[in-house]
Amino acid sequence: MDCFYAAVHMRDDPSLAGKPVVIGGSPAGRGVVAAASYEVRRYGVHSAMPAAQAVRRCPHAVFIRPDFPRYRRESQAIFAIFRDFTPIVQPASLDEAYLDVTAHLAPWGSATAVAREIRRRVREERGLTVSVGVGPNRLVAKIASDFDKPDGLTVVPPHKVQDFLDPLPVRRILGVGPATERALHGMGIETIADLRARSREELEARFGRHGAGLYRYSRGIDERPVRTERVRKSLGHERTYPRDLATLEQMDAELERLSQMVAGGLRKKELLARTLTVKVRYADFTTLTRARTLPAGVDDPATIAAVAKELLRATDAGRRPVRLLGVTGSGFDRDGPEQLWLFDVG
Amino acid sequence: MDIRLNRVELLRELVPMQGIVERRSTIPVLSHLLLRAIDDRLEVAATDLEVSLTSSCEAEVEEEGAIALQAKKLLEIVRACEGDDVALSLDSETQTVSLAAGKSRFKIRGLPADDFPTLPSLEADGAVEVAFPTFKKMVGKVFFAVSSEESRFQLAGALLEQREGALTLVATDGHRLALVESEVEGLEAADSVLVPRKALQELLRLEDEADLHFRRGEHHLSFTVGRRQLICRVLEGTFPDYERVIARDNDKHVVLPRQSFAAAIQRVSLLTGDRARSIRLNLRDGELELTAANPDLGEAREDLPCEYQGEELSVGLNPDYLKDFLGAVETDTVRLELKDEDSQCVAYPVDGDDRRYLCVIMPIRI
Repeated sequence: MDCFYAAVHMRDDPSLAGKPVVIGGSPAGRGVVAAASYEVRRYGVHSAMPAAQAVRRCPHAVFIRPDFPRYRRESQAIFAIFRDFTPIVQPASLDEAYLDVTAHLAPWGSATAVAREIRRRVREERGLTVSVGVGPNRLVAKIASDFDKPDGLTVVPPHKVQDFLDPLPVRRILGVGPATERALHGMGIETIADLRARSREELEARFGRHGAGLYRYSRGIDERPVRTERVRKSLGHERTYPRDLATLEQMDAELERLSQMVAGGLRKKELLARTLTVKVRYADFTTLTRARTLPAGVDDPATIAAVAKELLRATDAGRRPVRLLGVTGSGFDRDGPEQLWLFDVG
Repeated sequence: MDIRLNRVELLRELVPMQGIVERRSTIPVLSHLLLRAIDDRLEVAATDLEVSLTSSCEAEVEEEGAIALQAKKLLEIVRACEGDDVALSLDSETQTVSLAAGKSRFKIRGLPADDFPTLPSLEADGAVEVAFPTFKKMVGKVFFAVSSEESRFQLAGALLEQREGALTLVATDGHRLALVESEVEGLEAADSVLVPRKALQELLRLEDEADLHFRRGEHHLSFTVGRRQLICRVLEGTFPDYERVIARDNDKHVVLPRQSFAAAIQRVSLLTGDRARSIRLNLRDGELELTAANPDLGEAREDLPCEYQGEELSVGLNPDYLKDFLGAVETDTVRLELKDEDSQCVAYPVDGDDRRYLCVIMPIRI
């Protein structure tokens, strides 16, 4: 979906049309931008930016508090349209999904025709625009969907994959975030073609297992299936505080609360986490994480909080004021009995 | 607004409203009830924007008017008061209601009635008609299988199907499925619709002997019982092809007394693992053995005599799924139909009143 949260508000309130709209927390406090309309992006406002900064960049922007139940409803209605075309729909977020239409082309003739039909139905039935990328695998489809936003349709047939990828900046590849991007730039790698020119050995030596992925992705190779069942890899909670936390006592109390939430989530999902991570953001926005892997998986708040507090003491927290704390569990044990399914559920 | 009405009658309308109002809503007015005095009655309405419930009770109306009052507080006050009657009068200047009952006097601050969302409306005529107790029983027989997993929205409700002479409700969370079908006279056109979980839950709370009038609009469903009308959005999505998962070639049948089977499951499941709850059903000639094991705590075993002749079979099942079915079914005897340890188990009542009732349960692979 294009600019999903903002688009939903703009559809339902015509007076917002053409205006710079920011969905997010209060600019007076420490709210963060959750979504920015295309009109406001021109001013350099983007998601995850502090709302206060967004106001400075675009003082006449309309600020709207996010309404997640409404986005969820909208998302459900749109994904229901997707499921009319194929049962294999993998939601990536509220506004993004992978569809495997390989076995469901019959009434439409081609994946391109399916894409057109999906775009038409979402536009007519939900009044929203959607950008679709068509490709032989998830990697290519995802890059293609970002290629022509908003309201675009990009089709990359199998024999055009390399021509399509080569000129793009490496940042477009899955798993290349700011840090990997910097490292690649340091190696003189700017485009996917540059990346493809390097040997697998060199990439593995520099990035480990991640390097093998870069090697494959630069060639447009991605064998991950579209999975309807989302496999959760981590479960965490974090909070930005209205006032910086100064003392370890305050932070411990917050870690206990966060641990309680994480434990509750783990129990609800029947998961045991072997790895616990604490995230700390200091008042100057420097952010770091500390993690520990335990001998066995845990889901109880007391253990999680105890480990989190120890991890916190491996940071400068207490000596430096902290604006954000987070606790995450990952490394789930998945052994043991397996409840079988009656059918593939979306 | 200036009215007087029977306290118990008002209470009877306030109670079912409580499930509808949003407790954690960010929109204050949604934790309120809309009260509207009109003609000779007080109309009461609650909504969370997904599901709304309206009702009314008789009142002596001196002056008409409307106000939104905090639902929970109003219930607490009316419940705590003494006396047969309650008098409500609104000072529209301050949006404050004076409530008098027995010797008590309250002033309750409200919100303007105009702040209350406009409720969807659907007429009740031309609707499907079924005795409400019958319908409520049907809901009770499948509700446990409705998914509470938010990400599987198309399963977060029950499929209501009507065809000539019969009404069917089906619910599934992907691991188990419950289906109930009752004969209902006068049904003609075939139709099916997904009823969201919350609407089912609130219908289960309503007490009424009257007939239910069910009507489907373009985006909304209406359930009218007596003076009460519940309106909800249609749940959008494609419900799975449920007939496909109802196994018909299960060749191992075992008939069991419901109560002692349920009690045995209850006992044995005391020693299941904390996280993955599973018990084993070991079926052999003339006997069903239930076992459970928890690596930290120990083991449990119980034998149930049964009429079974055939191959031995051992299958792992979630005891809660069995208990849910055994708690909903009304017959003294139940029948399980099994095939192998990876295939679904289908549970039926023996000699039940429903035209059809069954529960399909997928095993746990251990």
